[in-house]
Amino acid sequence: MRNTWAQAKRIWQQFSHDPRTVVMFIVAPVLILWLFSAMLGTTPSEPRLAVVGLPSQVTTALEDSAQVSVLSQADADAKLASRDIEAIVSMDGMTLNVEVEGTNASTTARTLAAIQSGLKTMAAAGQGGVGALPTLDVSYLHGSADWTSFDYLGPVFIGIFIFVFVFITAGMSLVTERTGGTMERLLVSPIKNWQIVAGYCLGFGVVTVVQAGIVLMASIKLIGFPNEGNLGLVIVTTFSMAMVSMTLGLLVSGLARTAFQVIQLMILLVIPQVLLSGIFDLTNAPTWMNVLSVCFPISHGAEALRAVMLRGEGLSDIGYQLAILWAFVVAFFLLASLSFRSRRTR
Amino acid sequence: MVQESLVKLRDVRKSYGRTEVLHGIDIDVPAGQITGLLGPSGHGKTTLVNLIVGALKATSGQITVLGEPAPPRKVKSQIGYMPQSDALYEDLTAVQNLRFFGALYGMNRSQMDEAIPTVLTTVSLTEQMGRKTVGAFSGGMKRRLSLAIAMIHSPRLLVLDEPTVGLDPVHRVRLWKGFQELVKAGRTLIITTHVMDEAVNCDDLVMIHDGQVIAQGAPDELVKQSGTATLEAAFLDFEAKAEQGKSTGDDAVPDDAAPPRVAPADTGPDQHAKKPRKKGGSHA
Repeated sequence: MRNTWAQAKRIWQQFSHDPRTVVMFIVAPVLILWLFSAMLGTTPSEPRLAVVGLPSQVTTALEDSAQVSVLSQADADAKLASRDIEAIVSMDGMTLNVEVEGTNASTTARTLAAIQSGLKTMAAAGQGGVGALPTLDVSYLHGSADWTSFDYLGPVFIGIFIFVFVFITAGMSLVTERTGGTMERLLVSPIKNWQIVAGYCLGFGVVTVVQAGIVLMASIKLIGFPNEGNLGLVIVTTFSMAMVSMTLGLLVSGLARTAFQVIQLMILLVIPQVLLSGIFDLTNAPTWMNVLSVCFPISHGAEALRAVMLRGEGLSDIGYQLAILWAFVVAFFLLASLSFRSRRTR
Repeated sequence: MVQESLVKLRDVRKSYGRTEVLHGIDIDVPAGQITGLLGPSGHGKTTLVNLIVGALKATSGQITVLGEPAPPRKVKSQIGYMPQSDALYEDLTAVQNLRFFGALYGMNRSQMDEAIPTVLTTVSLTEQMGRKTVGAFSGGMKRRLSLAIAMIHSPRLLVLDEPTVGLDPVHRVRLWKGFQELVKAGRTLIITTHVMDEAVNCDDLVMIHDGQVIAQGAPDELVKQSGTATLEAAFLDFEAKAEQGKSTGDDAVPDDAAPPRVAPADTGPDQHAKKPRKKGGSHA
């Protein structure tokens, strides 16, 4: 226990002599999360449409949800080619023809949605000879109509950033000791391998709690990440994810010979987890991909964060995910302790 | 005088992959002396001390350190080790480095308060360095701090891998005085070196060449035994004998085998064929 404590104390002393790292620990995640919110949080602009030979009431209806300009077919074609408009809407008998630019799938989807919503408005008003449709009245169980994709992805991103940051810090630790020669000193001293790993967990763990606390406060209070749940529970969940990342990072660091290898292993071990963590909808993905996603700790952490931050769920709802995360922590901790026992005797 | 051996190696072999770097080492390190491991770089000295302190495991053979078979576990806290690289935490101060390693060796606060000024004096460093982190130290200062860390817990056995490399003559002389004082205080030292001037100061010398012990004894005895004038000449003499022992393909050549000594001149073409490049490619 004394050895673990000495190791942790040493890590704090090292941090205290390195203010730049401390600042980076707080500023970098906050900055990136802010950029992210600025990027995804903006309401997209209305799509630009050209209408060719449409009845005026249709044009008026479309103007509700899009920027509409009335053009000749030739002008419209030219503008579509130069990407000044997103779509051309024309009429052929009773069929509405929509020609979209089509390069960006999400723009296309947005454009089509705008056109459809225009048509619905028209139908609701009983215009244009189309049968009357009921007006949509949407109510929200969670969130509200002004939630953007940022709000859905936000909690996942907080988890991912903390995970990646902690992984890099932990991943560099043992490798730095190895290349600097201090590892040799530790190995011939009475400290045991698990105590070295535990010392790092304790030392970095405390730093991570502070980091996660500050980053989460800044994200929620300043940047405006949604949080419907208990902030303490959000911190506990984030910390659990960070501990998985730390023990995994220590394991990688114990196995690697150089810092370069750590980065390579990070790309191999962390990027797939990030991709399958819930940023992309996996509902229609192949089964093996869903199975893989369930095997990854980030997925569980991200799911728990979403449950708390978006749906305001409590400890009893995410206990399962937290248990899985801590099972990963224990497994990685043991593997990390073993990883450099094999090195000790080479 | 019968002396207890603190470190005993019997037919120790070490291989990295398929390459064997130590070919059957037998060494006895007597207590209360400075034992020097003398030999060229890359001939297995560091591997040897790594085996003694337990950083590496021997491929075969027996190693006993302070009465315990290697790798030592129970006696770990009685061994001090100074690796060849400085192995310091550069973003800590000197005292923080010392306190960290002191804590690992189970020292409490008051023991460290007592020991730190003592070891710093031995290596001619002072606490005045205060808040300066080790990263700002000169190479020589780092080397001396590294040595101070190795002896912070007053170990019975000190294993120092090239302790004086990169030190100026003044500090080198001071350190050797410090080593001799440690011996007077009853400690045992193992020091690797490739500097003959330093080897003379050892009580007992183990000459190592190409992963084998080619001679062991007190420096002046070794000089006498080889019939040469200096330790350097003695080393070269033992080296040449060992090489001849190998080229005849027989390990059992007695030490005083005279005939092979003239052989190199006779087997000239053979020797040239082995290392033509070193001569500067005169045949090109």
